Amino acid sequence: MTRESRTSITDLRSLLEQKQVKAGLEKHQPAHLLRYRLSSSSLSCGIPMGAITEISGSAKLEWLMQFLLEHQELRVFWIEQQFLLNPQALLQRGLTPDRFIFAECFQDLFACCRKALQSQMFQCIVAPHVFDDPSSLKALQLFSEKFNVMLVLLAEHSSRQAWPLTLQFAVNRLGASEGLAIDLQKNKGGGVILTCLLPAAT
Amino acid sequence: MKKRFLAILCDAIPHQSRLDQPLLALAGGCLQWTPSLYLARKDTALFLEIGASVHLFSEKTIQSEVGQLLQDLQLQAQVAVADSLLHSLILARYGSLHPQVLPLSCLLDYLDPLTQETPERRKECETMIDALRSLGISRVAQFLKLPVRELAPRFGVMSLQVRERLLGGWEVLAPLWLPEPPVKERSEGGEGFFSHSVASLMVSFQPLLESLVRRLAKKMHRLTRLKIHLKLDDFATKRPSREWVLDFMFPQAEIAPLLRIMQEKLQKELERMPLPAPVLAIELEVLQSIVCPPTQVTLAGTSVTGGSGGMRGSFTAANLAAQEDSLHSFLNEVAQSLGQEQVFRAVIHEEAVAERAWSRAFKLQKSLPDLTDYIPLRPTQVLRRPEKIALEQNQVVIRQRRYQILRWSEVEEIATHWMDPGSAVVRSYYQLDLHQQSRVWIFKNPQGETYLHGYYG
Repeated sequence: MTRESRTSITDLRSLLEQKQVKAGLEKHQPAHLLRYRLSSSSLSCGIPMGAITEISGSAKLEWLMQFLLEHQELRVFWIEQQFLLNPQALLQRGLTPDRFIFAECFQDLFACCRKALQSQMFQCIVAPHVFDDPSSLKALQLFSEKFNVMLVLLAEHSSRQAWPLTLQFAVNRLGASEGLAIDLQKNKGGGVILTCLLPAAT
Repeated sequence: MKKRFLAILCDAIPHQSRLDQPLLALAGGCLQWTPSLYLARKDTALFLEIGASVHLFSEKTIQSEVGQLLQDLQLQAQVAVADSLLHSLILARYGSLHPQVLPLSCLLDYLDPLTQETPERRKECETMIDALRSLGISRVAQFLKLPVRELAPRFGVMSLQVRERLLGGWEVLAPLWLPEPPVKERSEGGEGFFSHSVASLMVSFQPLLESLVRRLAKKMHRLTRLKIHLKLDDFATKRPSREWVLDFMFPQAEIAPLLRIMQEKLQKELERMPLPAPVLAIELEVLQSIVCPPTQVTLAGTSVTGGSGGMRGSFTAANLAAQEDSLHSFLNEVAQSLGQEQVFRAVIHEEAVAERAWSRAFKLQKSLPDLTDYIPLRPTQVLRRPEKIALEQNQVVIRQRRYQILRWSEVEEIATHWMDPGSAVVRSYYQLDLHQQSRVWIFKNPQGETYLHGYYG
């Protein structure tokens, strides 16, 4: 007689939470009360909305472009202190440039991030991680949580004492191959992964 | 009283003139000599009736001051004075009123001096001039000698009308130009003064701004340039006023973002240079506004709010315009603090040379180039200026640090714009995989020098 496999209590909790989130979204509850994440084909924990994610490593931009390609509905505000991003590369990787608005902010990075978060016009904001002061990061975390915006900070090296970050990982190239290795360094709170419930970008 | 007309004919309005509508500025400046102004010929000609002003200004004075005004506005124009509007125009255009001197082409100006006729009528007149020329008539005097009874059957009724005008029998009526009253709002401090703090000043500015925006909305206009003026107590300072001009990237009709932009501007400016004296009066003036379609104006007041936590509205057709407005307000705000060039969309070009691969713009790109076959995968980051690097055996030295090379890609040869030596690019590009470092994009030039140009990061 074969014994029927039993679902663990954590799996059941996760399923229940997922159902509650979906039900909440359908009832148009304020999104900041719903901790949900956007799925990623290469990162099982997904990327949280309404939180700060830090990506470091030698292939962080390649990974981010891959993620944005999986979520064509995200409208992105891309901030750089000195603009080096190559928009032609975005198009070559399947991303249409009309989803993106770019800003070159020099020294006004914090103010620019704050304005973009407060405007609620973008679901994703990408900025360089140059915030040494934890209070600035905390302020940005509160804004991103309040306005339910995904704030992605691109760091040269992963920051050690950055407690306002919810998710922290490094993406590196696997030697001389095309493959990417992801090293998950911090994943605060977990959450529910949804493929996407956001309106499509126009 | 004898009528005298001064005609100002502008050759071409320069595109990069200091003022957006230079002839309107010229007309505004000419109001000091006479209120009878006529703007015509598709806003390229201005006529002043100066007969009534001769007791105050001589013709010579007006002419020389008009010349100075034209110079200030960087405009080139012909100026002439005559007894009628038509004659002043002909004199300014052809330098003479004598029929022996005037060419046949001036018949078009006699028929339609203000460029108000339909293109068909003008074409008809041009055909008549061509027919006259084919008969060997080249001057107006010759045209006047033609028998009147032969004009209508041979050249049409129009020839009789032109003849009538030439003999001074058919007066030209031009519409009077009236300047638009400036849209400005002012508030006096009354007995007391306004507070020095920016927050308090903003409270005082809010009703003025609301009134301005309401006035513009009635005309279906939106704000594009605003002047903030603070009048200070002149007993306490030598500079009794401060003013700032705000230029908006997109026409603005919402009050809340405007207030935020103003507050940020004042905050920055007053931190840099505090007010030396109490504020007696505050003023807002619309320097420029543009007409917006009625649908946008009606939606201007409605901002889509998504509650404290949610995204702003869903992208339904009903609120797309409001979404666009909110986006424009945000971009105005960001552009105000960063500079208009620093906020942009990217327009991608089908170009192999990385420096010319895209440009900053704000219009949406209608059709995207197909780069799949033509251009190999480009790096995610491109340096503004390629950096010189050194290659040593199996290592590369970038910014004085050595990296081991794991793999070289195949070469990509770029040789473009060879017909134009100034912009010719001849480079051999390679992708290098480095140990514990992003993949880099380097090139060698014909001189054998190696440069780092980008990262696949």
